[in-house]
Amino acid sequence: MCVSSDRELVAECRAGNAGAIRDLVERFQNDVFAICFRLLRHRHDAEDVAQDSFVRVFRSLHRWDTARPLKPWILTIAVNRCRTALSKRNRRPTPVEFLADVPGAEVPESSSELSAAISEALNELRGDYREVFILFHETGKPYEEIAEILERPVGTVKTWLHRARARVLAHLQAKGFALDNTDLNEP
Amino acid sequence: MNEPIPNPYHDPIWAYAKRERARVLIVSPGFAEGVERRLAADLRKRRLTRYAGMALAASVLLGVGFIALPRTIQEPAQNPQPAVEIAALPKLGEEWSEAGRSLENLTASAAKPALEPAKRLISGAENLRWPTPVGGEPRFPDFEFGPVAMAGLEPIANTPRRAVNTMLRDFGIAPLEK
Repeated sequence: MCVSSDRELVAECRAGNAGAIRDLVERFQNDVFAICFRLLRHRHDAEDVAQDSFVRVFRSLHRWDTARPLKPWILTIAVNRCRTALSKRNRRPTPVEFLADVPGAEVPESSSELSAAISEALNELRGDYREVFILFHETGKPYEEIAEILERPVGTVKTWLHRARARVLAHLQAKGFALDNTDLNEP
Repeated sequence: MNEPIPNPYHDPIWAYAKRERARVLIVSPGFAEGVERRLAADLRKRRLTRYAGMALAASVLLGVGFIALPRTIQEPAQNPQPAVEIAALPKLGEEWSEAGRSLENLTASAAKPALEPAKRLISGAENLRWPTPVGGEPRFPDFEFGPVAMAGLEPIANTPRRAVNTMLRDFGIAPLEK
C-alpha cells in the first residue's frame, strides 16, 4: 500500500484499513523510538513506551487537527508517554542503560568520559530542560518543532535550552572538564 | 535539522551533540507487529470495559427499580382516602333474586297474619259435603265436595316466598332457594 500524504494515511487508518495502520507505524516508528530512547535511556523501556505511544495515537487519531502536521503531534504523545514512564521509574528505580552501552554506539575512548558526564548532568536536570536539551542537541530538531512537540512558545524553549546548557556546563566544570569560558550564569 | 553553531563556549556540548546525532537508532524487528497486537488487545479491553459498564448500569437500574417499586405501591396506602374495591358487575338474574328476597322479607310480617284465616278456612273446607237432595234425582256431580272445595279455596301463593317464586317463574328467572 502506498499512501502519499499523512492526511490520506490518517483517513485510511480511521476507515480501519490494517495496511494503513502498518504504514503509519513504519513511517514514524524510528522517530518515535529515537525520542523515547533518548529520554528514557533504556532500549526495552523505549520500545515499550514507543509501542504504547502508537496505541495512544490510534486511539485519539480522530482528535488530530488536520491543519497541524502529523509528526509533531505523534512526537508530543511520545514525549508525554515518556514523562509518565519516567515518573513511574522515579517511584520504582530500575537499572538504567546508558547510550554508551547500546550496541553499535561506537564512542571513542577519549570522549566516553565526557559523554558519561553529560548524561549524568542530564539526569540531574529538570524534566523540561532535559527534554529541550535532548530534542535540540541529540535529535537536532529546530526550535519551532520543539515548541510544537512540547506545546510551549519558542521563547520558552530557547530559555529552557540556555539554562539546560548552563547547568550541563557547570556540571562538567565541577567534574574537572576544562572549559574556556568562565561565565556560566543563567540569564 | 539545525546545524550546530560553532561556539567555543559550548564546545563539549556540541561535540557530544555531533556524536549523538550520528547515532542511528532503529527499532527492533517486529516492532510494527507488536503495535498491532497491542492495538487489538486495547480494542478488546475497551470493548469489554464498555460491555461491563453497560451491564453494571443495567444491574444498577434493575436494582433501583426493585427498590423503588414497592415504595410506589405503598404510596396510595398513605393516602387518607381508602381504596375502593371494585366488585364484578352482578348479573340481572341475581339482582332480581336479591329484589325478591327483599320483598319477601318486607311482606312476610304483613302476609303471615293475613293468610292465617284463609288457612283455617281451607282446613275446615275438607269436611264439607254436598247438600242432601230433597227427593228426586240428585243434581250434584259424583265426587267428594270437601277436597274439591279445599283446592278451590287455597290461594295461589300462601306464603311470600311462593308468591315471589311465582313472579320470578313468570319472568323466566330461577326461583329462590329454600
